[in-house]
Amino acid sequence: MDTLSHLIEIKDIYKSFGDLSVLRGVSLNVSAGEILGIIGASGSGKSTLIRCINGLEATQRGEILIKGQRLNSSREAVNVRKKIGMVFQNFNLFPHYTVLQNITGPCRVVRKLSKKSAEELGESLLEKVRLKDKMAQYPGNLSGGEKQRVAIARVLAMEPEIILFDEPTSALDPELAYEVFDIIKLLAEDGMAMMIVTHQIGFIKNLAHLILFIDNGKIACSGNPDYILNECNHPHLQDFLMRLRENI
Amino acid sequence: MELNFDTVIRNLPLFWQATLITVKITVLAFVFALIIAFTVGVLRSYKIPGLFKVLLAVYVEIFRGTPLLIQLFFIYYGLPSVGIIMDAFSAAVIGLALNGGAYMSESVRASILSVSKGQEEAAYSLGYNKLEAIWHIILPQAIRVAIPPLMNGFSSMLKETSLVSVISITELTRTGNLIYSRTARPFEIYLTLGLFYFVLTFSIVLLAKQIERKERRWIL
Repeated sequence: MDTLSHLIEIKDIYKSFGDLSVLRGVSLNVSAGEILGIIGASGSGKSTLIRCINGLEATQRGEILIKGQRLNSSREAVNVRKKIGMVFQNFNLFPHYTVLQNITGPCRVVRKLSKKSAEELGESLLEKVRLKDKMAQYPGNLSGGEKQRVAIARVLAMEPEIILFDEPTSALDPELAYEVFDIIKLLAEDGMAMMIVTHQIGFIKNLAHLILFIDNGKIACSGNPDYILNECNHPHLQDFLMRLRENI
Repeated sequence: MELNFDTVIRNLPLFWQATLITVKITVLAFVFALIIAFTVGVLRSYKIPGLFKVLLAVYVEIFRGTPLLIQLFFIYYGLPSVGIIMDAFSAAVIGLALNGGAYMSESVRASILSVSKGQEEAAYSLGYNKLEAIWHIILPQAIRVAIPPLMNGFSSMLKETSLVSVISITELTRTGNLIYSRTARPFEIYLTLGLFYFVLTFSIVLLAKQIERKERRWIL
């Protein structure tokens, strides 16, 4: 296959923290517009995988190519990250900025937009995530679901080609999680490429083109949602799915 | 004993003059100490070359581990032996700034550590480089945490200026001593001196409250 058509290519990466090896030979490709769900037990390495993709963690072996560009020094990481958005479990909004400034700040520093065009962009994105009425508030006054929607708007303002979600709803009550899912669905309709680490199988199965089951630092099983949920007979996946269903 | 404040009242102009010198030394030394504290505090919070790191640690530990009085003597009387000569005022400001900067750099370092790792990661993931992340995201949050200890350092420094009287600067304490030696009214003079210092440090407390209130507009 033509390698240039891939947004992200991961070739056999390894990552360990001291003696603990977290990723043990992971390879995958993501194309424009593709939505990947990543599932797996806690500690299986799924968060580490997406943290490696935007350089928040350095890999020890293998390589990661973003639009064909190698990611192995911190200077390159700064440029590559501009193409990749990241949404965190704990939101990580900037508490000293208002909701609007959380969007305009990065636009001005990173994209060098003028104050006026940053504000116009910020307001239109807050409209998209239905939070325009909160734009003068500080994040400390928002609910978790609202914070995550601001975080998504902030990422969109950087015009990324792919967005990585690291358990975007794990810190939220179920009814707040839906607010966030609704926004992610909107992005899917716009054709945004996404990698979503989540435990919410019910949500991801209707959205993802491909689901990866990570087990023990490796991709144990991958396929379309139907295959993962019903056909793949990897014993750990069966256990994992059973435990999730018991919790419902 | 009979109190008699006539001496004090007659010498009030001298006290005012001395207050001005105390304030001048304190403010100058504090500004320099802040510059030192932020430079050293930020550098020591991040990965820097080993030799540089050791040098900064040595600076901080030496100035925190020896008496300010000795540091002032060394700068004013000791350094001329190796050809570094300066007037008493400069020696006082430099001594207080280096001493205060060492202490305050630790407050700055602690305040930077108090900002969660996620903030830095969020900034990087949005495309900020290291300097931009420190300047726009980490420091503004750290400063709020650092304000109370830094203002505390400010008022400590004001009180410590009384030590520079020993290198013959006619600030408040030395002025008091001189008036005492002429008038033998220690009770009234030192009471007045204490009052002057108290009013000055209390002004700093009020200023600190004002700044903290302004910073409290956002919550975590």
